[in-house]
Amino acid sequence: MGLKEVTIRIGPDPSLLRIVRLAASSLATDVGFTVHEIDDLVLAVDELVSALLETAEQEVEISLRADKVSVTIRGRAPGMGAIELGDLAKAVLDQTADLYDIEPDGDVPSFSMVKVRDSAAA
Amino acid sequence: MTSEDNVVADDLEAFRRYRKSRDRGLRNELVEEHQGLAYYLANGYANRGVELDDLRQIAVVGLVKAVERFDPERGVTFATFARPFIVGEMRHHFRDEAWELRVPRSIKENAQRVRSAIESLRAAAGAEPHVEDVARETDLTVDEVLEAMDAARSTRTRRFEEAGPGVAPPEHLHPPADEPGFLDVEGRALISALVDQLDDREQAIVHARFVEERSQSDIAEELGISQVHVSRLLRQIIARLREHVTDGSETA
Repeated sequence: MGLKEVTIRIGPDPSLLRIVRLAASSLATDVGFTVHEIDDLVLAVDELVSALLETAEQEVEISLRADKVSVTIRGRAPGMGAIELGDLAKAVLDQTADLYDIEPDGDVPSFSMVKVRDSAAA
Repeated sequence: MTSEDNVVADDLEAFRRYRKSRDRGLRNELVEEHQGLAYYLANGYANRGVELDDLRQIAVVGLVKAVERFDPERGVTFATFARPFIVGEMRHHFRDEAWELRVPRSIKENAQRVRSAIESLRAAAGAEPHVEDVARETDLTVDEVLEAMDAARSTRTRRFEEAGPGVAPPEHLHPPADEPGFLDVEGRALISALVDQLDDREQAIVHARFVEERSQSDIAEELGISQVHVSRLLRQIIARLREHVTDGSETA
């Protein structure tokens, strides 16, 4: 199975978070994630993407990429201040994502996260 | 070793047994045992426009996920591990309030079927199902299953409200797949006609729940039993009432 990639540009509207979740869960299904793994992925997406959508003032770009073992999600929010994650958001991400960071991409606030299939990580 | 240490050791041992057996009864016991943590965290989200009972239901869903995933060998306490799942579930709920009001009925119905199918597949295979398995089991497409899974999170509370205020999931684990459907199809009048078949305590519970529309917690307090116990009793009662309905229609 080849690489699958989707890029979504959405306005800074938290109600659009669902679209990103569905895209993420759809890609994860394609590469064989279980229901349990998708549940974790969705919780992680919720935390990171909402951090963008709740504070961004311009269009936000979310790219999702899946290969046979993982789903990687990156978000960029030009024009907004640094992404800030609260302690609770970090705790949720610690438990549900395999990797995440909120390093800026140049001067653009960005995040990335990776969720690996349990069977692939084992 | 202190008595507190013993409690922790017993708890870890119970989690070990659950990880090995995946026994649903044991899982439910663990959930009940740690329900206080979910309630405590739910209290922190009170006064934000969602009833505390509903918040607690959402928190318990997060607790169930944590129980299912907790590895006692990881060296962290269950409370530390569970907190993000419980809080994450509640945060997710608040973010979705706008969407959940608009969830089409067909998707809500699919969500109910998908939840049941996931449980059946878990029980049958003893392993976590894939979305394709759920699609086959429910005769839905993969996209429909994903949409239903997403909606299931959002509609959990709303479905209970449609069934009647405060209807809680059986054993605090899953929305009562049969309660809303039963009420939609048969209606409260039918319940009234059938309650004569129940004993006094069961009648009192049904009356308090569906006529007085009191919360399960409230009923539990009055009867001196746990809310989980009330939830179980209601589920059993409804199952029996449904049998009567089915028998009646088959013999009619």
